[in-house]
Amino acid sequence: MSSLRANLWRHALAWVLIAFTFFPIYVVVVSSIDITGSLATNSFLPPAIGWDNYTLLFTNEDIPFTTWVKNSLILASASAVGSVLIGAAAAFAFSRLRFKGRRVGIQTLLLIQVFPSFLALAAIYVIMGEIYKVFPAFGLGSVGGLLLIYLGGAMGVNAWLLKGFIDSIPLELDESARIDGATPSQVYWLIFFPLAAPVLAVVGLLSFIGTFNEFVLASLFLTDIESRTVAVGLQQFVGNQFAQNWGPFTAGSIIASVPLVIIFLSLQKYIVGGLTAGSVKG
Amino acid sequence: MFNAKGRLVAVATAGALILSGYVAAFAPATAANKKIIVWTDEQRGPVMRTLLVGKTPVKGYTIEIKSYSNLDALNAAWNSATAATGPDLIISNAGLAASGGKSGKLAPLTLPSSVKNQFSKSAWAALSFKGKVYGVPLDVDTTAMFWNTKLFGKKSPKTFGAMVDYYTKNKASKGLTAGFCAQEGTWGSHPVFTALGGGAWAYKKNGEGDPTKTVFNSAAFKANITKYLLGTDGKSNGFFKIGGDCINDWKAGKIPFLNTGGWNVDGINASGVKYKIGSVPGVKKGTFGSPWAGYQGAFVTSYAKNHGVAAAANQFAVNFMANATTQAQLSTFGNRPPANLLAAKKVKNPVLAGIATAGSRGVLQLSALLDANAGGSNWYDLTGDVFNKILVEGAAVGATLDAAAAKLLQNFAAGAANL
Amino acid sequence: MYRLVGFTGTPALILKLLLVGIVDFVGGFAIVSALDVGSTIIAGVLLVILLFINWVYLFKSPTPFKFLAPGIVFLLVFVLVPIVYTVAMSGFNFRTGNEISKEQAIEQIQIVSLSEDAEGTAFDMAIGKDATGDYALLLKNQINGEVLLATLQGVTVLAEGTYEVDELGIPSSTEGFTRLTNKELNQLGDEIVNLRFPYIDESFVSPLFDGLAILLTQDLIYNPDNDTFVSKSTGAVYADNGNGNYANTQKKKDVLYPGWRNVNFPQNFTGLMFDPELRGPFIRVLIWTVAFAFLSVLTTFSLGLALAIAMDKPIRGRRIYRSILILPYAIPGFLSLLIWRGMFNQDFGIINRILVDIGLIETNIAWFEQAWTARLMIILVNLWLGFPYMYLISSGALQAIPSDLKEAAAIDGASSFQSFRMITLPLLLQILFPLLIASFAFNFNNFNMIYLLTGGGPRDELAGERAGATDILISYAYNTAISNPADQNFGLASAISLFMFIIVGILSLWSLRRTKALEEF
Repeated sequence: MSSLRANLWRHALAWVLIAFTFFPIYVVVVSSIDITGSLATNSFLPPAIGWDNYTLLFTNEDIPFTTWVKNSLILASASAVGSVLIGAAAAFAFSRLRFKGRRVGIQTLLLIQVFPSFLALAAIYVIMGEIYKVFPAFGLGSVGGLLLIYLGGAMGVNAWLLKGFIDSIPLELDESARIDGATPSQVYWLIFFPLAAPVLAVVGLLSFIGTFNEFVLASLFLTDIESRTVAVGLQQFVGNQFAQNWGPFTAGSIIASVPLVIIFLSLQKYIVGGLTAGSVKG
Repeated sequence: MFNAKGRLVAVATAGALILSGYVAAFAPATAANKKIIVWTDEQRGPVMRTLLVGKTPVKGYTIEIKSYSNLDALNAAWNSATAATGPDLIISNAGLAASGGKSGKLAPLTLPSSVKNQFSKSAWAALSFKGKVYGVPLDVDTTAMFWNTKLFGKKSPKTFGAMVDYYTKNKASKGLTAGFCAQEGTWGSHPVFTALGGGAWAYKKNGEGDPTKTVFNSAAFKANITKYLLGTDGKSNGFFKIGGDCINDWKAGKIPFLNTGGWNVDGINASGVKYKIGSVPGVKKGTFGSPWAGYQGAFVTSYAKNHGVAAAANQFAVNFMANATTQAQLSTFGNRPPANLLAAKKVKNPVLAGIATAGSRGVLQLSALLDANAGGSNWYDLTGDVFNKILVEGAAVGATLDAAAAKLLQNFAAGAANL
Repeated sequence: MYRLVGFTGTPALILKLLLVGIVDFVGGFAIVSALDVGSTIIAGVLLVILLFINWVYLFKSPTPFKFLAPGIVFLLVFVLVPIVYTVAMSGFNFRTGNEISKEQAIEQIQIVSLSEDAEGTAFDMAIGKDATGDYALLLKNQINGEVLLATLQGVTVLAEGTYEVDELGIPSSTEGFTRLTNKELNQLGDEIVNLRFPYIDESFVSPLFDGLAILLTQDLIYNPDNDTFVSKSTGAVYADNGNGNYANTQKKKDVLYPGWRNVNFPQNFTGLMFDPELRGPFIRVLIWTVAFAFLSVLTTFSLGLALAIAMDKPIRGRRIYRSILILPYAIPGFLSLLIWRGMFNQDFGIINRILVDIGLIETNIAWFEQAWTARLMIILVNLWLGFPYMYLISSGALQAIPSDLKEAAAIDGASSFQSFRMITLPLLLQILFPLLIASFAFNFNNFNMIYLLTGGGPRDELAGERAGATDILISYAYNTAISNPADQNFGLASAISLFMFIIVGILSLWSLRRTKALEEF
């Protein structure tokens, strides 16, 4: 029993933080089933409980919630696949190949990454405007256009993240392949890619989550109600100063975040590994 | 990687493919209708689409409506619009005339008298920058007072004092959280300001606004704020509530008076509260507060010319958007009184008529003056801060209003150059 | 161990050709489409990209390019070019009223100076051509019913009986006038707007759109020889004032709008440093930005580290604790922020309600209206969002510290706190240093946090403040550039961005150079 007493402070700290952690989560869950649609929970359970806020999201014609989810899924999947392909190739080059300008290259990538890119919005609009003229599907205001912008940042973010993983794959494998006369491309596709597949999957998922959660660029870029992502769509419920519909907002938030939280928790072992190799989100 | 032959093959293949893409692109393009691109907000966008179903307001052109999710997004898009992406027509509040005219992004409108006569002079003034008209007026953005008849009774309050008395007497027994809810923030608080003797700028004898003077720190306003909005302890008596979604408490029967616009009528009706519509009464019987009467306009942009649709966009603006029938139809959505005088006459809907009557007691919302921020922040932010200081923080009324008035005069002086 | 089966020789070559071929095909298609709509820029950029890709994959290009090419293409177009554009704009007078090019401004000023005559005279109009093939208009004055034939030479009044009217009562034909067919009309488009038919007193008739023409005069006349505008009514002369506007040569403050975007380097930068109106808020915001980023790292790291130490022993329920405690990190950040904002709401927020219920406060706190409560709230919310991350990296680092080091300290008789302070903490800081710097940089630019929670407020408007108490540089730049349409300053916002970039960039590079990771380079 002495161990329990010795560890009491550990448990106490954990419980205090669990209360802190759960507080807003509890408020969200309760608000989502409170049919009065406010965030003003008085008691532990709201006076009137119902699923109205949830059904509203799927039945109201003015709220194309399913379209938003679809847009988010398309955008996040495409961006995940694209960024993993771009990032893995770049990381491989920076980790395995020795070439002039490598050091400068990777430092430049880091620098570009810290530029507050959405402040370059005016320029992005000009570029997307030009593209819009030729390919409306990839131009201003389109999901395709936003995808291109996300892919622009893919190399910086993912190359850094993946480089940590790649550095940990032993060099002997590809060295012996090279002695056998394999070209770097063959080493990449035949040796590196299969070995790194699980890691790439995790990075892809992280990229998926990141894109799914991205709000600022999406809100300024996707404007039409039909082309919004979940993040932008949901924010509209409470973003307006004079109309705050917490009910549908909390219901939508729960629908949107539960799958992400499950993915995250089930992959936490890998993600934590990635965190120590490089920063993921913080 | 390739030997010489292989490279030759590769180059030949690449060349052939580039060429085939090239050829494919020359596949006969269908002669598409020319487009007029209209940008608008989230509320009007769907309404416009409904109105345009089955109609071709301009022969040979299709109208493409793009609605923006929020003001920031519309602003951001409009700021960064290029000839490639810019709209041909933008529907926005009258304030756009000043910034759009100044920046050259809006095309000035020249109009025949037959069109001009269908709108009031102040409507045109609101949509002008340096004497030049930039848009056709669409509807009047204004507010009216909705009072809960189950609480206060069917007869309208005759004086401002009557409303305050009702609140103080019934506050405890009826569980009132406030007496008067100005749901639309400081913009929608203007009838209260004016009912109490305040306001933005002074007026000349001929009724014209005089931006060199302000009545915001008038003696009457100072005295009336102290008398009606503050308790004996010098702090807020809880009567006057600005924004913060107080409409929810009004709908729940916890606030008797509400000042808001027609766009909230659907929600109000859904709440089941029995109400009547009127104007905010002044401190003396028979006087009334004045809401802002702002205008929404349809503006033809300079980009229309780049796209070769300037004539068509003009035609759309003048023949369709300014048209009495269109405006009468538009007004049934969102309950905004139409700007077109002929359309206004046709309004039958009692709610809309009530709002229009309250709006007719309104004063012209001169965005050039109100949006100016030479003193640090514009009218809306500044007055919001003033009432926060007085009502929440308990600051001295006189000094606070005087300080604000000094800032307002700086704003007006800068803004007057844009009238 | 492995064999290079099936991916060498001809199959690999075919696969490669196929992939490059698809890119070429799509690219070729795109180039033509771009040329088709007259966008030479896009066509040019695409052509360069296509040539680059073909060179990289089909020729003996340096190997790294084969891996970096796709990333480089996207990076250049969507990240580097916008950055360069932003940097360039910081040297421009680029704000409301000065947004377009000088050519556009000149054109626009002339259009703006067109005005209707006092009566607003308008004409019903039929468009056609005269005997010489030039455009001509058949007009009916809407006010007095007069019928006119307007040609580029002038206007003649037509007597009753010399013209015919169509079913709408609009004159449709007369001698020497051939009305355009509907098909011709449709092809005409905007050509008609630019037509001017001289009328009396320097006024002219100009079509507004098909069927309607109005009488106009132009007041400002541009003289390209000396680059000035002259007003016909006042005689005033307006010349380029060197700062993006035409100004009255007699009265400097009388400027014509619109103006144009004009190079004014280094005014945006010197303004930030020397103009008291800009410098005041800038320095205040800068101080809070640094304080916010520092406090964020300090609070989240302290709590995360404490938790990591607590969980460093295999206590019962550790796995469950861990899964719950990283929830804030797993939930989409923007949702959490919006929810916290709602919970802090002065009137209906649950936080005020609880505080009142337990008797800590009597009246609701206006969290968003006072500088210090708003700042406190931000730090608190950031703590909620950020401690799980710090916990995760701290516990990872704790495991990396060899336990014999700690044991050695214990043998030396150091108390557990001493051993922590003297040995574990310095080691931990050394391991986590780059991540803490990255976290500082992240919070330095944490736009979401400020934008979604407070929007930068509160602002003491009565004191004339231009920046809010919780504005950080990035939200301040955003507000400067976008939020108030009547007063936007992109040039200044770009200068602020550049400033931020320099601070964060130096910090990141410094931390990168300090880490061991770089030693292997």
